[in-house]
Amino acid sequence: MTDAAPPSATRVPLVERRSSAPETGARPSIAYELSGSAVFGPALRGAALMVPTLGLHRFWMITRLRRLIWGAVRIDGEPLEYAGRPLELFFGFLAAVVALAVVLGLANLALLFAGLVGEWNLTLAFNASLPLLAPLGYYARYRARRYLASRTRWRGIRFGMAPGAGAYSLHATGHLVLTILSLGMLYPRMQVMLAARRQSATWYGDHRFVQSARWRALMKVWLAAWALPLLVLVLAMGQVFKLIYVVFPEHDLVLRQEFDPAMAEPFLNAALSVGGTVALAALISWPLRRRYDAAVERALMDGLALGSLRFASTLRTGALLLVDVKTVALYAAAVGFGAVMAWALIVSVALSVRGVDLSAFGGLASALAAVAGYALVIIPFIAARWVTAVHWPLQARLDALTLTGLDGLSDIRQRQDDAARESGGLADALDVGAGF
Amino acid sequence: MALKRRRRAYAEEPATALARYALLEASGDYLDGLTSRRQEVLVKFGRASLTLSRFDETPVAHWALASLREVDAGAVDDAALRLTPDPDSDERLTLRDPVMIQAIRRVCPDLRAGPPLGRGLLRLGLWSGAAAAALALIVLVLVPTLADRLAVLVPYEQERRLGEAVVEQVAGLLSAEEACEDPAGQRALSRLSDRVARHADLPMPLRIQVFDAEMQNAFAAPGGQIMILSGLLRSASGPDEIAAVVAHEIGHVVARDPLRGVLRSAGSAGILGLLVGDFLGGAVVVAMGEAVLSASHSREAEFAADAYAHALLADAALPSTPMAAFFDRLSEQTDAPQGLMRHLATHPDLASRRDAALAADVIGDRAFEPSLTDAEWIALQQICD
Repeated sequence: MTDAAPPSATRVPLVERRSSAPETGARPSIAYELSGSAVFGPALRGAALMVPTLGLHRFWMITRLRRLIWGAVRIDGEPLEYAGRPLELFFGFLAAVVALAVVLGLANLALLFAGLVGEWNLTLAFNASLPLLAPLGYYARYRARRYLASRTRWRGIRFGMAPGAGAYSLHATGHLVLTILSLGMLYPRMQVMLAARRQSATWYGDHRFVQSARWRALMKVWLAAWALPLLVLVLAMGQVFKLIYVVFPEHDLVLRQEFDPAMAEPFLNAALSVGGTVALAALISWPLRRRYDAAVERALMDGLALGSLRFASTLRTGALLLVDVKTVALYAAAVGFGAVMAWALIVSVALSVRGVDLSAFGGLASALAAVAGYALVIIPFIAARWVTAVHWPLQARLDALTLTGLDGLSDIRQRQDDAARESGGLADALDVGAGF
Repeated sequence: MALKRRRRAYAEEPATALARYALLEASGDYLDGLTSRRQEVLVKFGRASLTLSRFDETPVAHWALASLREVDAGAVDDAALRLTPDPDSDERLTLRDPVMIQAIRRVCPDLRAGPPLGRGLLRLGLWSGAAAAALALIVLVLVPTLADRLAVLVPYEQERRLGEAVVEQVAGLLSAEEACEDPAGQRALSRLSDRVARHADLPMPLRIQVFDAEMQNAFAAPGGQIMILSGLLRSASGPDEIAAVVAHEIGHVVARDPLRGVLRSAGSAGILGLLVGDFLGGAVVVAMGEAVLSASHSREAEFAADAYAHALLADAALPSTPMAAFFDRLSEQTDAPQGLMRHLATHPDLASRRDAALAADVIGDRAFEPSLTDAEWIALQQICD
């Protein structure tokens, strides 16, 4: 995995790539030494323990896995240290749920009432509180990040993040509106500016991170990844309209009672070409999108500085594509295995229950079998998610990362202020990047 | 815990062990928690402590052995031991000398101990209790109270509009898109409802429709709308049973239960889902919780609507015994939920409601004018044909 064969070197790394063999003497500036099974094992155990604890165990599982992953990140040979505690997560989560219940409950009620009295469209009134979740999600993510920073140490010095989740949420929502209005064209602007805002608010000891990446430099790569799917979408829509208004002008495609056999072939052809266009677009836009993702990572790392410390990433599209392929394979294997086990369980319960008194016992047994079957599918899924969504992407990014100017890190002092008290509970309640 | 116990098993008496390691020395990497500069220090055992000093013997720190903790770096690199003088300190010491590491592990059996559990458990209990109480307050008191207050303020026209949307949705769920419109059947239906509703204190005009569905039931929707399913018409013993069911639904309309129900469910929707997050069996727990919640809301409402129906039937000179027959059939159908499951049924306590209907009957064996003639009853039963 360490080296995902770069197909074409368009960019010469400033610093020599670290060798994958540490015994050559030179210590890698940053290394991530963790195998997928070292993540999957504890994740599987944690997910299984969530069944008897009704999910309560997830805070302990998250803490354990974070400690494992942080400890595997070695900067100049020294591991990162995660100092968060499970109970902090749990209390933060409880507080967030209560706050959300008040906010969302009252907002839903008020919106429905306003919709009734104000004669709005009722579907609108029922769903009007959904857009409220976007700013809440940004707020939650900032706070979760702040918690992570405050609980991360390296060489005994804490990271930290300035308060300001509310302002960040407003800022991000503004960017989101702009991005939606531009039909996604301004997405790199949003991505880079928000990353810069988060990173510039982050401290290591008494030093602040500086981000100088420019979003315009990413536009060329983005336009390729953005315009092609959009173009194909327009083409496919055009084909659908052609189908409705040109190929079958006399036919009401939706409510037609009898089907004209003469129309079957042109209809099938048209449907196939629409489906084919969409499938082809997905296949082409996937590597284009990963190419953009890799470019963003390189730009954000090249633009990042901490004192005299510089970052440089040589992340390649191929490495991200490989992560995608491995992700699909692992999900298929893990969930498929669980599904087969669940099926076997349910069938054997059904066979053994049949013939027995089909009253209370039969009902209970099949209910238990259904719950167990559900667990057999969802447990490997949760465990696989830690590997696919956290471990592999991190591995791809860190393997491509080089730090220079590490000597400048020896005069950094501890920042004497209180660490963030909040615990990212809101992010967990909303399930926005809370796993990591 | 398991690790700790295993270590204790071969831990020697700390005092003798200390004496044994008195002359042991090793170098280590020390981080003072104030700067990121790494210092190389000499590590030795002192009196119940670990002493860290520079190579010129200048002391750097004394760490008490009792509070010494190992920093868990994810068990990736087991060759090194990372220590902190106490769990809240920023200071770190990294040792790589295997003899020294073994010595410290022997002398300090509590190296991996977490914070004392008792305090954490107490806080866990207190916080969970407080959160549960706050949620219960919101879902059981705040949202219903607000919903009840707001329901009175919704104008009739808008309530009707909402009701039409609800009826449409329910009809869609039962795959009965259109209301049945046989003219003779409709005449019979309006005669029956006029007779029952004559003495009702209606806040809005009624609109009673029959939908073609197997289910033997009837519902009230916001805006004075009542849905009767044709399965009920087919299986009913006579028109008086339909009259009793309509009287019950009128009770809901008068109390404005349907609108309050919609507002309540809008307010509490998703709250339970939030609580359980995406974890195991979450969907099942949420469904059960919401069923219990809506049942506990509707429980009182059902009894109140029954009582209102008894009074309406008495005023209309109709018996309430057919209502008991309806409950009997309903409980046969639902297989009489018992115990915990009884709380999940939307029509709880059918037996006690049946007894109440029998007790409220004012006609008894006397003769009464049936709510519909035989011809009208047949027309109503065939309204969907």
